[in-house]
Amino acid sequence: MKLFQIIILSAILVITISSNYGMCQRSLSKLNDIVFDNVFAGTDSEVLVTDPNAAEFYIYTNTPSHLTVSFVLPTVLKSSGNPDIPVTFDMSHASYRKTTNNPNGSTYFNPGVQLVLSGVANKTNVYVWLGGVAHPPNGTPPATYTATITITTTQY
Amino acid sequence: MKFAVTIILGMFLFLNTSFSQTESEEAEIDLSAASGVGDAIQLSVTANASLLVLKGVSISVSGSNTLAFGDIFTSNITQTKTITNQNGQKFLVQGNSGTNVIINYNTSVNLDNSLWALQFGGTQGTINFSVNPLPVQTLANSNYISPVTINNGGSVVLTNSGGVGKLYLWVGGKITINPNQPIGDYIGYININVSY
Repeated sequence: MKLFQIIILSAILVITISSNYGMCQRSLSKLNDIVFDNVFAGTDSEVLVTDPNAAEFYIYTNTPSHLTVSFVLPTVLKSSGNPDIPVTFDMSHASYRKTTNNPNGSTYFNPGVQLVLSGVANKTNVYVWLGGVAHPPNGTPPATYTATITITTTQY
Repeated sequence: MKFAVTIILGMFLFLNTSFSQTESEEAEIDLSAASGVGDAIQLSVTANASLLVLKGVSISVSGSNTLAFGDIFTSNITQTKTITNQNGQKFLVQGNSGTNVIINYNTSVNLDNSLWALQFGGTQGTINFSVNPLPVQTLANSNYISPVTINNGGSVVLTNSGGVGKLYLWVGGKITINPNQPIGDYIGYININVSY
């Protein structure tokens, strides 16, 4: 009977180890879209990373890793039947921050260049914010203009 | 003792099953949400960017009424003539519904007959025009219903009418003709400015 108890204890320990292995997670999700402020034609509309209307993404890994972040950014916003509206993204409109979900105090980076974060610790939350500037020229017809932004992360 | 051995085998079977399920789940994640080379995992998501370009605000003359006072005979006494707001010049302001606009106008302007006097000869003179009574607005109603006075610099919100924000302004006024006013056609301009 004593032998049986020992075996049971050993089994529980093994199960625990197995569960940890099963929780290995790497995730990327969008928390927010970019919504530029309504403007009249001829007036730029800017969204800062600290603006609630900035795009926000969430990256998580529970294993130590290196992390890259890259964007496929649109150059124009489109509306069917209307001329395109240029949109720009630069180093003052993208930032990231580990652990804390608050863009104030985040680190800025150029969204047009792949961001590399080396040695991301185990179980780290990484938040990425993206703003931008839309430039509707004079004479732009009133309408809603949209575009798609793609973010890709690689963890290794 | 035989019972104990049976238990041991059972536990090991359970452990193997659990481990296999874990691996299988991880493989499913790789296939559906990521592509990996070696240990690298690549994930992508998209976000939308959107911008609403608003309709600019415009102002235009509306209706057939004008601020023409017609023919007036001069005399040796001061005369006044008034055109009511309802019978005066109507303006239409258009923009996005809900847009707050500020209305500014000349409260007083001088009309003069210089062009007429230049062409036909005669004495030049001026006639004062005052925005009196003050202009009114009827929101998006093109008819003169429930008019509300607009003070110079006052603000009004454009009211939706068929998807467009509208505001009708009604401007009348009064001219004062001095005794022995020089004859001629007197012309002047009143400016209505809409800012937003």
